[in-house]
Amino acid sequence: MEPTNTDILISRIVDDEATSKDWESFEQLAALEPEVWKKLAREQRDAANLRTAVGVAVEAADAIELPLGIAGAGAEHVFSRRFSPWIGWAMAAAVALAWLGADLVPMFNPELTPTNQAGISIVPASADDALNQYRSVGEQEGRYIGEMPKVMVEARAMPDGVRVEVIYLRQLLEREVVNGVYGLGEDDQGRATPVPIEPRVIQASDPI
Amino acid sequence: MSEERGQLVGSGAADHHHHGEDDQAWLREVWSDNRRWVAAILLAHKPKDAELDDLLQEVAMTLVRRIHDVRDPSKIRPWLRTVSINAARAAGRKRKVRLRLVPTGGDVEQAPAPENDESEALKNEAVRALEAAQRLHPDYREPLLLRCVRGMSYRRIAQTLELPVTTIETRIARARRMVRDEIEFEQEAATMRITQGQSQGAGA
Repeated sequence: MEPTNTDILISRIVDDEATSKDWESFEQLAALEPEVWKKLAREQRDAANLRTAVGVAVEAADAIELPLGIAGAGAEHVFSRRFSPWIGWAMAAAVALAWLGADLVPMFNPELTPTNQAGISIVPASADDALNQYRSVGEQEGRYIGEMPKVMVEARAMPDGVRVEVIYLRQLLEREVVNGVYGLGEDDQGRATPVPIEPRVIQASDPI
Repeated sequence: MSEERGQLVGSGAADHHHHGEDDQAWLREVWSDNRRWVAAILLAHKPKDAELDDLLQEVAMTLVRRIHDVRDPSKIRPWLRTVSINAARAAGRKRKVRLRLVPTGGDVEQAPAPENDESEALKNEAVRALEAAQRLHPDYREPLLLRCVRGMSYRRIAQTLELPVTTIETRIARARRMVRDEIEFEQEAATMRITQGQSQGAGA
């Protein structure tokens, strides 16, 4: 399926690579076949969609710096690799949160939280309040360590054309003491079964 | 980037990186100018479950360690492309070991299963276009994805892939047509499923 001259012409226009001669050819073609305008519009839309998706993905590169200044660059590499999945998306999340503007800023408003006369919170007034309570109790218990940068999953314009709905992943770092660490292995009959693993072989990036 | 620096990074000053103090600044310039399209190359060749950030780190590491192997500055881009493709392919060969914490005491809660609705929601128009592009043959998806990176003109893509400009524009045009065909096919299939579902519902 070789592309036709029309395909190539449209592709050049979409890519901003068309010369004035290309435009003349296109206009002559469109005078005979008005359908090519529709085709051009469709290609423009597809290209814009693809640019958006690729743009979001390759933005991650901006957060990756060269491991310079350390002999062999090994130690820095290990550090970067361990945290790299968070860095790129942290920027995207920051942008997304900027879109949200003031809506997300008041994470905790004591005035909105119902309290008894002693000032102790009874029922969280919002999910943010509940989360803050969890953090506070979790820290006291030694379970809650901190929060990783939010990961943006999706951002889409609201029907009003002004606001943007942002769906993001909130990741909390917790500590737990367990009696054993197991990997997923197979028994004699090929069925999945837990297999004990030495904790020292587990890498920081392995999924739980 | 100034014109002088552009020449430095793009074509001239072959041995600049051998001159001590400017080493790091030069390397940073090279990386800064090229990392986005490197990401696009990785996107075109990486396995689906490989992390783009990890692969970028691999390429950055190789750039620091091996750039001195490149004698001809005009070959830096093709060299970076080869490094990127190798990193992406190596990621595909690595065996994935999935680990699971199994509590034998305490009260660790099971993580909830991911919801299908969420993954459905992710399939918006842009993601579908990218997925369709990623299913193309590498000869087509690579120039198409590169063209989505700002500053990657047909000429620059041609230099990077070491192919004639006419080949690049033909491949991009064909890639677009294949992506469009696939999206339309998917839309028709989805419409057909809905119609079938409705007729079955009415029949019941």
